Amino acid sequence: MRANAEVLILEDDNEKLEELRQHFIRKRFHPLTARSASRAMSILRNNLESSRPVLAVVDWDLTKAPDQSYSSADFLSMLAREVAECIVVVYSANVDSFRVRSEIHRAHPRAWLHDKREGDQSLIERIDRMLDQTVEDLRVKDGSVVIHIPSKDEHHHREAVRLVVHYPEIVTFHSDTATKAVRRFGDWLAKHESRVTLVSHGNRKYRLTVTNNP
Amino acid sequence: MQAINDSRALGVLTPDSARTVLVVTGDGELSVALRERLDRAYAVVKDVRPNEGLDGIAACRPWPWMVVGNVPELEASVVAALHGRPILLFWKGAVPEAMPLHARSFSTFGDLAGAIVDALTQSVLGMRLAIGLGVDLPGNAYARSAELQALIANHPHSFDVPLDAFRSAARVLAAHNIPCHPVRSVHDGMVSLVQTTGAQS
Repeated sequence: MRANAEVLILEDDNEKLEELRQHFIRKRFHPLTARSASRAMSILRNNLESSRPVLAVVDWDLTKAPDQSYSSADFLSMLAREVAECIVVVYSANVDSFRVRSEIHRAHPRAWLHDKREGDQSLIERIDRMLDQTVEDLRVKDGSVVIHIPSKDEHHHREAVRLVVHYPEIVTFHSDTATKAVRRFGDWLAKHESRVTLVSHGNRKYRLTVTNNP
Repeated sequence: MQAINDSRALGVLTPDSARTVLVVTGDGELSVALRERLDRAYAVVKDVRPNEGLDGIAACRPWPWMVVGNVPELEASVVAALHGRPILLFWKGAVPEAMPLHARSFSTFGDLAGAIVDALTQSVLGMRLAIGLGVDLPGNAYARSAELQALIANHPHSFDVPLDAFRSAARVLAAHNIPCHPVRSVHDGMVSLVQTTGAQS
């Protein structure tokens, strides 16, 4: 199965939103975009059964959003509750303020922070570094493929991508279907004698670890 | 309590079984500073206000690995929830009244943060806290036991918690032939991890 992994982008500035959207299309991700928190929440709610984003990129300051009924904090809280396995990057021009950092992390305790003042390119490079993760003999390509570098074999599943980009952290998967995909990925790693192995922590929690002696 | 299915309920109150440092402060500054010092792969920092303390504890499954704070008082219900469970309690400044006796006080942020890092990286007889939750045991084994995780992180300090609360830790140690076990002191009734004579840390 080849289904490009979704990225959800919440950005109130139309031009910047389009720039990010185009970037993720070039990287073969499937971008879902919103200019307001309420729209982002409804995209997430309507797609939870079929698609769960690997990454959410969130502008903390939504003063230009066409709908102010919900805030970026509301959206981040929803992500933390409903899609805990999604990597979240929040950017703000006020990220130095401890009050802002506290508010962001109260909404989403695992969010990564980025300083908007470093510019758009810096944000894109940061995200690319997170997504183009290489773990020993594995690397992610085009948002939907994990490649075993020595054999050049490919494993196509977003849950495999999710595990690699989260390395070394634990990922909690949301369904039996997702955990079956994860176990298939673990078998694929073993079959390829990868130095990376799958560790199960029970209750749908998995992580990758690097073994010294495959 | 705040309903977690409320569309505006804070993510920090979402139930989670990851190893958690629950930070109870009036303004969040301590939590922000601690986050900078701790390896996120090993512990998630959750920032709650004193009036959210009980919800914050309930959201950590089975309980928070550690509760940190700097407020001089806590509601009686929050203090009650901290009793009877092996939760590490680290406080900057004076510890609130009626807290379990194993609560430790630190006068500076540096001492507090250093002690938390020490607890996260503690090693006893080849056992150390695993990434995310549980304990890595010698021989590439792993145990989820929250009680064992607490005993190792707190070593050599002790817990003001009944010995019965550490049964799962004792089972894991026995099953893996690790030469130590939780022991209740006859002097003060506190429980700590004690190495069998001859064992080397």
